[in-house]
Amino acid sequence: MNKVIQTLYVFAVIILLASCGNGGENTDEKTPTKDSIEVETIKPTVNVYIENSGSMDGFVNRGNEFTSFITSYLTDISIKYSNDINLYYVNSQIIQLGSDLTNFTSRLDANSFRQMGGNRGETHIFQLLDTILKVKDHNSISIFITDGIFSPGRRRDASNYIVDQYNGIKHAFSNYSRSNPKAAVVVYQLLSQFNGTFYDRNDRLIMNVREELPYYVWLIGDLAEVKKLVDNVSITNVKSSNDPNIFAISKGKKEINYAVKRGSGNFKLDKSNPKKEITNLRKDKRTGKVKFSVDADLSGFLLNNDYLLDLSNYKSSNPNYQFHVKKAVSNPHGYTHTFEFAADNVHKGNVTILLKSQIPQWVEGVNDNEGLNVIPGKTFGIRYQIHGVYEAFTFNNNNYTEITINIK
Amino acid sequence: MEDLLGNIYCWFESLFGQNLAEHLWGYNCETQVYDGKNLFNSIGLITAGVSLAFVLAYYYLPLYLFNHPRSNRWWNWLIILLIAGIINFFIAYGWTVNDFLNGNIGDCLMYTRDEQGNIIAQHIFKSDCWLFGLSNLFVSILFFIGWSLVFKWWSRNCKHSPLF
Repeated sequence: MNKVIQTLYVFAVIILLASCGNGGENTDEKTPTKDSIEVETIKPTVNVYIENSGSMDGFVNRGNEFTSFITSYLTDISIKYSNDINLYYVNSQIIQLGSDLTNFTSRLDANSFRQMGGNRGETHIFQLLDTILKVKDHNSISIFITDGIFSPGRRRDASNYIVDQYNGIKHAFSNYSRSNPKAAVVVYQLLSQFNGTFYDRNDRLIMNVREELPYYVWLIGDLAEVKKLVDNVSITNVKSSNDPNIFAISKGKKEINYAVKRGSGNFKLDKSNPKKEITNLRKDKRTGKVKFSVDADLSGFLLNNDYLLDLSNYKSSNPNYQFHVKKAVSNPHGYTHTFEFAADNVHKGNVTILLKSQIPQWVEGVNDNEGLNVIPGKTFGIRYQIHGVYEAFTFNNNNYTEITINIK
Repeated sequence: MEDLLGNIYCWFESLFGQNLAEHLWGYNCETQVYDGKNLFNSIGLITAGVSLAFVLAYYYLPLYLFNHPRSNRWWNWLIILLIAGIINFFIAYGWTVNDFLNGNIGDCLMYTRDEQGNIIAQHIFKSDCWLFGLSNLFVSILFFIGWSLVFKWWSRNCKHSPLF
């Protein structure tokens, strides 16, 4: 009988020692619902606000880039996105212009700007944005077109004024994003030939300016709708858009779909969590490096490819693993980018990559801190506007998303 | 415990390849998780069952070649072991080649494709199915030895076969 017990014991030990595969239980984990943007069947209202203060007159010259872009862009929006468009001029007040796009674009000139009235002498960007945000409802997108130049007026200290404006913008967008958890803002910076009178920060007139100056198109709305507008009406395809600079931000951290790429290194996927955990990670025999890749769907953000491929926009929790990012090859899962990790040795534990929400470098490059002269390609105080919005959206969290892989 | 049989088969994974192993683990290319049937368990249980049946027959079935005074040589036991192994070899081959020929193996496990969807590399071949059959023969031998050590002691004629 002892022999029976002994042999049973030996047999059991052989079976239990079997461990060439990774452990873990199979689960019925389903693919998380793709963080997709819902398809709206009701077309949203597009409210277009064009600043018509005096400083804008130099932009509205028939046939220049500005008028050409506005005409093309709004036409494309009406065709490809929504034909429910309301048009407004905005200065100290909002001036309703109706919905007739053809009539509006045919009257896009300085005379029309003057005739429509309002206080055209000063431009307080914060007040303009605050007005637009306050009248905005949930099922609408606001498009604000402006030269972005603060015009404090003669009696104000410009330095204090600009800080007040920054705080005002931050406060206004903070309130807006608090009441709209899915809020998003895109700012396009475009260039156009300016031909007219330029107002410096002290409202001093600089006559007959003929320079290429920036103007800005702000898109404000819910992320899903702004994303749809950006995707449907690609700014780079619009006539006279001239390769615009883009700042985009949206509220909150998003969960995204990502998965370890099978076969991207010498490892096994964990049976219970194969998308996010790997086991038996070893050196690649050919390269002598430890490597693995992760596919991720980054399409849910308003970020362009330049931003997503720039490593300075990511932060890694594990410096042992070098990584770089590239566009994903065509796949049925909707993955847009692939992160490739490599290390000299296996380092177990979590590897977390944060996609940071950062202000793009062009903002500093186009900012004019003085506002005393016409500087081609620059705008007085634009950095204060962008920083105001950025800080309002990133008050609690300045990461768009994170990708975590557990190496067991 | 439900991965136990799969872990045993993994000893021979270098023979039949990681991609076929993933298919047998139940990897689903669409969901990217292991939500398919664990075929290692299915094939392993059949293999264990076939081996058990032949071990019981060898030690207890009162027929020539089985539990018989003339059958208690070690090579008699070896012949039965090989018969059980060959049956299990074809069970494993048949199962996997059936999946291979009927397109039941996920595309991501079968091929690497380029941007246009053209196949640039194939990862599973019919030869891998043969090699998985061979792996199952080895597993079958393990089971046969194990079952023999358990059941030989009560055999009237073959309790000392193959050893002790």
